[in-house]
Amino acid sequence: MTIQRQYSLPNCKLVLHGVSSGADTSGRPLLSTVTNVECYLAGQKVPLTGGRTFLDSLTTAVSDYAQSYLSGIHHLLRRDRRQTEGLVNLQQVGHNLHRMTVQPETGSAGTPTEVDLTTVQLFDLVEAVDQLYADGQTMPDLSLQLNPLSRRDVVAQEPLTKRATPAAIGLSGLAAAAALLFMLPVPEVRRPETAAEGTSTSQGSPTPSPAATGNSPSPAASPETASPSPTASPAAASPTPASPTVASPAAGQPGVGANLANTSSITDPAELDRLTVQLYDQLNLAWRKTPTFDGELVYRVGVDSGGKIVGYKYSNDSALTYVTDTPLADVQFQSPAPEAGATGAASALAQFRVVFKSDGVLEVSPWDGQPDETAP
Amino acid sequence: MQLTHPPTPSVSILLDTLPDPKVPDGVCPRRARQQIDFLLLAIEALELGGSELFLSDVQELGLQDIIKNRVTLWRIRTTNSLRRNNQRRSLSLEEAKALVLIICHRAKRLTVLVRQLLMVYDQLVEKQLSPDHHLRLSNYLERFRAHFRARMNPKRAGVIAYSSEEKLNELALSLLSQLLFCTGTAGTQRLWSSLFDGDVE
Repeated sequence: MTIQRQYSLPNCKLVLHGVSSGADTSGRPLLSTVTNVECYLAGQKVPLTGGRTFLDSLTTAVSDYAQSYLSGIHHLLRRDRRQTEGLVNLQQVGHNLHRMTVQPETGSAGTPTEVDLTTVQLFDLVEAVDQLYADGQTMPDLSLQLNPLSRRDVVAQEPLTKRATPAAIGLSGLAAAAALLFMLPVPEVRRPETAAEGTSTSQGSPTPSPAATGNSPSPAASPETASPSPTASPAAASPTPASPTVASPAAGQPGVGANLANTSSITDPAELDRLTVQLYDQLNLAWRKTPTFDGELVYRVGVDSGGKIVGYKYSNDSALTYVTDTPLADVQFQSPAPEAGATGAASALAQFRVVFKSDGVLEVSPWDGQPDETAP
Repeated sequence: MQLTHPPTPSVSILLDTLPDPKVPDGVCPRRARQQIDFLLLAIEALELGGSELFLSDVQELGLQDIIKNRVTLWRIRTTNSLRRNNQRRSLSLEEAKALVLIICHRAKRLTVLVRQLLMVYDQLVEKQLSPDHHLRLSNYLERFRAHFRARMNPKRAGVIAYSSEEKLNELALSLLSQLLFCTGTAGTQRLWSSLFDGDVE
């Protein structure tokens, strides 16, 4: 028994011809096998026709496109993952114009058909498909499948420049903060010195350490002295391991912030994998010192495309205190900052989260693998 | 026994038609909060007294448990981070569902107008005329621009992007098309799902 089902809207008419397989129990028999599909669109003299493959492709393409249109995020990837090769394709060609391309079904000769739809016409097509989906008596195996795109799918689709922008903004912020904090302590460290000069008149001593120790009772003085004079920092930092001296990591490697800000980040997954392995090997080989710390030392490490470490940053307090236990303390000298700064924006960087654990375990993972804290 | 209140439809039935997406912390992402508020703004620009009608829809749809009064409605709308009086609170999925139900309910009532304005716009584009040539369309655009400028924080980067009249018109027209899609058979489900594109795990 042949059945015809029709979904009519002002700009679109979808007609399904098919047969019913089950017993005819109700007044409206179940259309379970479709033999022919006709899709009449406004402005088209000849309907688009096809079989089951065409129907599947049409409904999927239209439904996905409607979701992309609503959210502004393309649903192309999801469709590509499906097994069926899409006969129907939709793309936005103008502000309010959508181009539907229909490939001829395999086996039949012909050229692809192109139809331009306005947004209202597109909506009528979507509505016809939705009415078909909602119709339980026609093709019950076709139903509306809506799943929001996952974060992963979207990241993969965005062009590299767009993906790199937030990172670049963040890193230039970091650079700015590093520059500011690097400059801040400089005028302050002279105050205790001149105070010491005024009282003891010991002008001959070039090292600031006597002055610093002289003023040490004031707790504010110790983090300040740590940053400008690298020689004094281990001594000044160790009595106060609990105070997170933000200034000193930035001042320790002034090249890092500037470097990271001007370069694009490496985001190719294969490249990141290679660099992860390379960095792990490099650090694991160099890490010979028995851990004297408890817990974890977490660093953010920047690596250029050649696998060379160009800078690192402390991510927790103990990482700052026990940096000499890690190979990072030595590695830094192999790549002087001025050289990296001179190359400027030439090379791309990848950032990694490196964790040294007290039980001797080393962990290396891409930094962007961490969930980003986005502003509310 | 006499009933003093008409039976209200159960809240859960309508809300259950919208699945809970797997979003972090179970709250609405920023883009969803923004989009919901913008769509409500577009509806207000389409019909006078839009905000009063939202409140009557709350009664009609039986959403009083979620949106108790106009203050609650205002509060959950100002979770849009681009608002001048942005409330630094999150929008729960339940509140978002209630707003989406209201948007689609109102959009369905406005189907004829929305279709008409979009078709007029298509004709104007074809003739290479500006939207100002049609009174109803230009009224909508003007009111949308006024609402937007009055309520959005001009210091936010997301608002600065819409500083020109053309950009705001573009936004208003794209919201109008989105409202059209909300009027469909599966409009509510489609809008709801689209709000979380790119934000689920």
